[in-house]
Amino acid sequence: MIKLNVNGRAATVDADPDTPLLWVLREHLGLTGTKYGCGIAACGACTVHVDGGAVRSCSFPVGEAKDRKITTIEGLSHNRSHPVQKAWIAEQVPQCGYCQSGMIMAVAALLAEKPRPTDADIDAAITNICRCGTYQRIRKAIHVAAGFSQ
Amino acid sequence: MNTVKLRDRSNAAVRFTRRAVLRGGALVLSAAIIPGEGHAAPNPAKETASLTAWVRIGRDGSVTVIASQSEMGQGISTTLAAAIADELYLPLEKVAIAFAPFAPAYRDPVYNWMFTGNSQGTSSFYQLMRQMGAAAREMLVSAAAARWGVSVDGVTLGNGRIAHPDGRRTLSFGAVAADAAKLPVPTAPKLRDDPPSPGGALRRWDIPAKVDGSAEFGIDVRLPGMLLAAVRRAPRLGSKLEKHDADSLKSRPGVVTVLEISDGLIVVARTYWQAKRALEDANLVWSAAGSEFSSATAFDQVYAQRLSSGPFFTHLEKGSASSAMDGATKLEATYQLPFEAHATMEPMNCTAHVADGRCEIWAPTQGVELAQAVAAQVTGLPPERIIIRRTLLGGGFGRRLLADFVKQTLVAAMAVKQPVKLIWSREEDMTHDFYRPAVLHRIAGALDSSGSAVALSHRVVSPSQMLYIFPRSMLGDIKDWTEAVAPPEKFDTMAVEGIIEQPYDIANQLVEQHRLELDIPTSVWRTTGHGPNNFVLECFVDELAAAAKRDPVAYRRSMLRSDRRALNVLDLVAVKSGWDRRSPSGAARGVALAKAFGGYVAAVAEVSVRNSRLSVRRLTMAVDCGRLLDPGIAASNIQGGAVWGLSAMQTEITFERGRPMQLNFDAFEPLRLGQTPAIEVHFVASDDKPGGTGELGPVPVPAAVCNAVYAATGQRIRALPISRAGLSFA
Repeated sequence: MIKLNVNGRAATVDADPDTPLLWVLREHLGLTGTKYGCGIAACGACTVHVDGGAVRSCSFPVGEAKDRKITTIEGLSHNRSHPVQKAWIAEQVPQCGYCQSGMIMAVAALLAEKPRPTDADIDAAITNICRCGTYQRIRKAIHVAAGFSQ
Repeated sequence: MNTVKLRDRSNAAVRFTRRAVLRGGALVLSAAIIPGEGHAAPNPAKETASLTAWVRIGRDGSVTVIASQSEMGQGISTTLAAAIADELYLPLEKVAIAFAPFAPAYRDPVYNWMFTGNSQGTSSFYQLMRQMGAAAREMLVSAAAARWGVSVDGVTLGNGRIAHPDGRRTLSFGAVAADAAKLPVPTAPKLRDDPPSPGGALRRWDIPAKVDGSAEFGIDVRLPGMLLAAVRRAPRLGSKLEKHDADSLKSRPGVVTVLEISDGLIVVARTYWQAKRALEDANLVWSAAGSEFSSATAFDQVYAQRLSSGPFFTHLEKGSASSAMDGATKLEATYQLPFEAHATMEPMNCTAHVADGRCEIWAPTQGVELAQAVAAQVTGLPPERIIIRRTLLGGGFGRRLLADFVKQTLVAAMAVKQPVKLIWSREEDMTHDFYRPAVLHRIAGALDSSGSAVALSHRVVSPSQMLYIFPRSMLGDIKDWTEAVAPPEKFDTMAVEGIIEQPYDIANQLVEQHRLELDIPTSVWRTTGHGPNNFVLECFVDELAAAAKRDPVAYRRSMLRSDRRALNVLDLVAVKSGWDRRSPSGAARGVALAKAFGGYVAAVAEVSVRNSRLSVRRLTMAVDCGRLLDPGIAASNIQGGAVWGLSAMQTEITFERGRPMQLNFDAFEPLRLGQTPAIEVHFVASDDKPGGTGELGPVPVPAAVCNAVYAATGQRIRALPISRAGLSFA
């Protein structure tokens, strides 16, 4: 049994400690907003926050998440009120949407660290893959979200 | 590989012509609106009434519109729902959207086959949706008028209510829906002549759920008592599973059962991670026999040999290219493009429950009718006992037209008699894709004394892209609809599309194809033949312009006398890109033009090359996709399409003795944000019939970039990916 703190709630899961956090979130806790894309931390679709930092949960053993604060897309805000979510709606960013939970979590972590990121900061920090190619709206929405946060 | 003749159907050929227009509109209309036609019409629950197969109205007045087309990010479910809502005088936010299961009413009228693809959702359905919305409106009006005992004249709709001519009394849609549903469907409903100002950007209905994690993709389906399945098939195509340690697999934690399939193994467990881990640790022994195909040598060997020896099928012969070449200034080049994987962000997956003589499938699919038919073949159940519930699709790009993953899931579901969700690992997804085929082209042109092209001869060696997706209803009896079937060559035109209908005035043209048979599965991939063919044609036109010592835009203009729409996008892109101004220091520009998917697009790329690093600084696109229904959705498709086009310049799948060598995103790397240039999209004001935008954007991008590289460095790129030319994207 592993004790977790997910989206501000305590949870106990019966899983092997080397199970990736991704699958514990999706299958044990029913938090399916976090997506499986590659399993090797290459695409970022599974990005969540662990103690506020962006982590690719497909390659993060649940045993290491013990006693740490985990936030998923479902816990980012109530009613899509996080500045990044608001900017994503305002700029109509998603297309298929599959990568966007991970994008939003990666961007939220970036803005927490750098409230006014430059384009170069964005290029360096946001390496998630979007096969629909929504990158141009993502860049714009990051700047819009930075404005909301001020 | 089977080759079959088309079923002898009176107008089969007309139906299958790619550009076939909606003939006999009234006939199609009546076929499409028989309410509840077929066995699986949307839930005709007692509290709702169906007005045509496309509109359901609840007793509470709630309106649900039915989507035939799958939503994979292209926005079609918003555009088409809005067309119906407009005719009911409702804002889009006031209607719910439900994806249709298979029923004949939801077939694409051009192909008479239910699917989403070929960028034809708009051209096939937009007008039909307006008609269906108008038909539903007239039925509501008639029912209300009858209730009041007045003529329909002067009865109006607004805010989800029907208003009496006296201007005082109103009825809700829900109050008359049951009566309206009993009326005959009007065969020629009158469309609104005052539709809300067209051209406004709609708020897409699916976006809120895509920013809070609540959007349901296939991989997210959860059912009571559901088991999870992982699959592993031969890493070398064509190999079979010879041995496996079933007993030790079954003793692994959580594993419920192990199922052999012809070339692999399915493990069903309590959780997906348990199933996946068990499979990863399994000792699977594969047969020594398998595909010998190696892409490194294929171009020099099998492709080159067929390029010279054929046999060839002639797709187009206009004038005489060979006699026009005699004595003229002649230019000739060969071009090649690699295999590509779809690599949808959501790997293939499906959920099924087969029990009590009934089959339910939850699938992210573009190919509903194929999936339905395959389910009938696999389960042996009659079609009316099978229902397909569609989820959102985490990308499609053509891959999800196929039903191989549905078939696999059904095998597992039938074995365990419980609901099963089967998920492919990314490695499975890339190893068992149906790839965009590699192609080899030889193109030759002849110039007159002024430098204009007077002849173009184009020879293509390409596998078919239609082996798995050619509408099965058009073919004879086939036991397994997931198997490859080659359509007659004259209908197998994707390998030459974009070159048999290219826009330039060239008097003599010859287009031939050798349809190569490989033991590598190939199918359609976003842009189908248009993408690769435009790369060849537009790079070669640039070579002709250089040979004629002419400006690339002016040269193209001089050969576009008879194609107004092509000229419009070329002129617009030249203006918006500042073509006539000097490039910024260190940069150079290239242009390309495409006619595809019912529209036109031109692109100008501005690039710089330093130390073998290719930097695309700016992309300017001009688009004529016919009447613009939604500038927001159209622009996002074009911009995202441009990214797809750039990605395709750096990705490839290679094979070594039948093994795909790129198994994940570390080796098959689509473009990332930091590599993406500013992409400007400009639309030509057009009154032409709406065309598709889903696949239009990528088409001219590789040629525009490579032509810019030539302008910058003098280096001609005739093979992709750009790593073959020693370049990589900065």
